[in-house]
Amino acid sequence: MGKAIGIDLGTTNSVVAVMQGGEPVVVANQEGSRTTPSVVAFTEKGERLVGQIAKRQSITNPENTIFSIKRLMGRKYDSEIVTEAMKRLPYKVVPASNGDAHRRRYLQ
Amino acid sequence: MEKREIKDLEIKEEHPVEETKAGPEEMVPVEQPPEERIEELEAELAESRERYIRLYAEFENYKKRVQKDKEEMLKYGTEPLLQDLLTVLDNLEMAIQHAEKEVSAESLIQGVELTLKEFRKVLNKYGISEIEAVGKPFNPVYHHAMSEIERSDLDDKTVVEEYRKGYTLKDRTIRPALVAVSRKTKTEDN
Repeated sequence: MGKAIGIDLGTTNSVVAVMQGGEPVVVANQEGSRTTPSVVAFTEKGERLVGQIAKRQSITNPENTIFSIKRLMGRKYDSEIVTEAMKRLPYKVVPASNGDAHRRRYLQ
Repeated sequence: MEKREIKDLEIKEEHPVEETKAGPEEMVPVEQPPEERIEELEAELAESRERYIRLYAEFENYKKRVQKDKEEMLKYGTEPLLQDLLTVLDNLEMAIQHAEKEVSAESLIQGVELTLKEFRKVLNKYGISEIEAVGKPFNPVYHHAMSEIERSDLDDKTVVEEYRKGYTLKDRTIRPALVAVSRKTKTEDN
């Protein structure tokens, strides 16, 4: 049976913990940090970057660096919140077939 | 046949056996009586429980020990590095003392340069290296892009300027270099 992990998916940062010896223990990421910026980037070369590293290249790749996506999660494209957020987000947001807000996929 | 019947009788007296469907001519394996089996299992269970309790107690002790070691390491982990840096501290204090007596800027600069060299030596000893930036292809593992600069003469996404140095500790970036990154534009003569 695999281990269950707990994820705190924050708008700006995320934290992951696992139960160990009866207590929750925060898991550090590859860079050694216990929190990870909630940022994902897709590069021209087709790589997927996550966390601090994605953040560092964001100005060179604004349309494909996703941050604050939590503001859009679960919302409809036509909602006021999404319309407002889109003014400040450099990546494209488009309606999905069911009217949800979706981030426009890379290369589409 | 008589012999076997007697044998069966003897066995029956010591170990009462469940009735089987086998006839008197077939050999019947002697089964363990259930009460005995229950006793056996109860003893095994008691032993397993004890082992578990002992192991759990050991586990708790182990956790406490590991926690204590961890706290000790966090508290004094920097001791060797700091010990080596005390020499650098000494040199800086001496530099100020001499500067107050001697006015020569040159000797002060020399003194500080020597101290800087010593300081770098200590940092290197503990695994700190400078990150190469200007001229290298932009790499977000080591560089943090602060701005883009249009350049027709360079490959796209080359580091053109360093605003602040970055450093790695062994294989980990402890501070990325703050840089400006090139964006390739077409040359003007078409």
